[in-house]
Amino acid sequence: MSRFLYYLIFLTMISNIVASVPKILLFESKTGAIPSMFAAVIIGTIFVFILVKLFNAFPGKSFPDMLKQYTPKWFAYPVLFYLFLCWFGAGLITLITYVFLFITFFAPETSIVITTLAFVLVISFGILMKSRSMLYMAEIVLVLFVPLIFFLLIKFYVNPKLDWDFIKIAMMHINHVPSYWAFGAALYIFMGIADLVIFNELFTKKHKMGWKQVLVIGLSGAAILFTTFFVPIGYNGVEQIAELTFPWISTSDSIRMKYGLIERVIFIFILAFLGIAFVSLLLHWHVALKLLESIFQFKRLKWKDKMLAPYIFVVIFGIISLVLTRKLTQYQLFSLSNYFFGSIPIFFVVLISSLVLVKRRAKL
Amino acid sequence: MTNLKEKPNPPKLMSELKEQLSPSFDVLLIPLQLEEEAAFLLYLKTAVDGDKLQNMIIKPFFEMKSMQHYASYVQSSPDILEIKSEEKIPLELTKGSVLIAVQHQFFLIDVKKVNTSTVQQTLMEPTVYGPQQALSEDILTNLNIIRHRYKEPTLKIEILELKDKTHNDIAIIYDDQTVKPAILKTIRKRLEGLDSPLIQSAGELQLYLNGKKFTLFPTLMLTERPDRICYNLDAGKVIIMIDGSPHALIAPVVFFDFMVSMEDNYHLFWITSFTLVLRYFGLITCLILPALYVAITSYNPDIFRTELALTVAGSRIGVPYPSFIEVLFMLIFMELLTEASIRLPKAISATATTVGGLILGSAATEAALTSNIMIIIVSAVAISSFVIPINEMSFSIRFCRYILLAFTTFFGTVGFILGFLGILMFLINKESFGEPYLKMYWKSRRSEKGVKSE
Repeated sequence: MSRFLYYLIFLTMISNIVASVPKILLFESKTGAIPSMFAAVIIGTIFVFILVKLFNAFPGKSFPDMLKQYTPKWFAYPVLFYLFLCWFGAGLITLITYVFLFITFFAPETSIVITTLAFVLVISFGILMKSRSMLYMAEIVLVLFVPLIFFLLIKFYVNPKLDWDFIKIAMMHINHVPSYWAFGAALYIFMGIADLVIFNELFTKKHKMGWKQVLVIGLSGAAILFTTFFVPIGYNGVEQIAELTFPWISTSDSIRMKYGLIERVIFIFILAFLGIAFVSLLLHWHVALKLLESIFQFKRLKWKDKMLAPYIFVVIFGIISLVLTRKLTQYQLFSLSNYFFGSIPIFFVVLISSLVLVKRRAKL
Repeated sequence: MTNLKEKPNPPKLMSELKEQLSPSFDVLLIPLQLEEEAAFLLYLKTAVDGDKLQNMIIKPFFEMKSMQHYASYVQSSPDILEIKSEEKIPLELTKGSVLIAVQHQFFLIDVKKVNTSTVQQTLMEPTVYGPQQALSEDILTNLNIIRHRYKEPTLKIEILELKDKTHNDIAIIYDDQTVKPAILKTIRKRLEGLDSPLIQSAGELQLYLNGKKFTLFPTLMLTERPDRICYNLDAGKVIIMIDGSPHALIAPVVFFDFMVSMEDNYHLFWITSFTLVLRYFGLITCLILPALYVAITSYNPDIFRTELALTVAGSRIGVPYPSFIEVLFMLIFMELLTEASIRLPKAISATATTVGGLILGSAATEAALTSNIMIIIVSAVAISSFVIPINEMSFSIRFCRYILLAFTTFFGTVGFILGFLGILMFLINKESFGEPYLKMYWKSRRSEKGVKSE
């Protein structure tokens, strides 16, 4: 597998912490979060395997092109639009959640519009870049920020305040029926591979997808889900964990670095995840933009040989996020993300079945 | 010489040419005459080398037995130029050639005089252990230096002539084995497409080759070091030289190339690694420190541990304006100081630094116009911006600093990180002749070795 494919997967895996996944999982901690996590790891890995195999059949082609070539219009366009909505939603939820937590913990006096605007400005410039640059950006940000995150994770695990008894208690809740919502949220961490719908254009060689790759993806997914779910429990206990709005950020504030220049780990934590959230947002919205471009091609909207449509889309993205961050409340965001994560299994099913359809038609 | 007959008439072409070039005082049309036989020379006195003309062209005329011998002597000269068309002859004359007419035949021989062929000391990129000589301002001398250092038969040199008024020669130099044909093609195309009226230096040529009007980061590298040129030739890059400029251009380049000093090749591994880390540290410091100061003092003083936060806040007591004005004020003065000490004559520049650095700095803190910490930051930023080995990159980073500062001033700490990521993205999205400007190179041992793409 190309190293860039791993980046796509790992970035989404790590970014789950700033996308309300822990909140939803911990909300269901006594009602079936653990079995749904098990299910998500197994099913998610299978999905990743199937998707890579399916895309392997079409090296160097993007999904919109494939769909338009082999399926009728009435089928292709709704599917593309649905996929666009999913990616736009994924980006939007990452953005709003991050802005909320930043306002809450980092800069409570700054206006929420200003913080969102900072994101929107840089992101608008970013998603208009070439797809290839996107992958390089993902690589560099991972190289810059992941060592920091690893360091923080080690701090989380070796700290004596982490009470393994809490974790053991939480593990007792394994004998429940899997909850659908928790399953959807846990499945989110495998969504990164779906970025291939656009980035497949850049991979002209076939990806090797054997046992080794499956094992790496499955195990890292399991490890990340374990960390996401159990570390906050280890610090805060099982009883009131469902009440916390940002369980991970609150947890990170219980660690001090005695001799560090920055004493409270929470600040490093938030800034490190800013990089990850940013790139995850960048990838999601870039895919969303490309999907939208493939649906609506305003060929007449031109200025000096440049297509204006992408710029208009980006402005619309920006306006939507500015309005929503102002209007939404914390509770509405939670239920919105809940519904979004609930739709992820459907998303995977739609994507895989349309790919299978394309493959069948192509063979005919 | 007493029985000089009446002057023979020069050929029609020559008198026409002379008329075309007059009334310049230095146009000379000289008949060479020995008994019955005559030859004619037409040249510009100020462009040719008088000694060479005397020894190579005039003397043999009187020593040869017949005109036929002389004609074949002239024809076999190593400096002979092909006469492509009559319109081209005046141009060749202005470049320092002599037109010889012997027995109704015309020959053009290059006897130009070059006063700029002295090789200079390295000024811009000095090293301790590396070669101390740079290039000269004469292209032939420079090509000779390169040939002398890179003795591979695969080294190819193509000469193009600029279409502007200088008619300078441009050399495209590359190693046939390692160069990428696509890049070579782009460079040739861009060079042929140049239509500026006057291009006098490699720096200017670089601007026109960029392809875009507004650029912040250099996509070609200017260098004066022959060893850097050879190093890049080996890595498969293309070197462009222009006559009259002591610098060569290297294309394509990636961001990391600008962080390599040739000194790195002449030191031990750990020492090189250490200096490299130091350089990147300098780069980051120079870029982020002013913006970081604004973020820390004005937006999130609570990030640092309490003692440090108090020290920073304490040193700002009495400063009458917000931190971004303080930073801007000090940075601008620092830039003025740097700019002044570059442009001033060497004798005065020492005074400027003393007055600016010492007196202004301490007076500004005593007057409570800036904090002590700000002075430290400004000097740290100034020093670290000089660590970047290639000057152009240092200028670009100096500019980027203000973008980051503005972003932080408007948006706070989140703006600081996002601005940094934005600059990173801008660099990644940039291309130099089709090669990505910034990306991770895992496989190549050194940044300048090889421009592999996926």
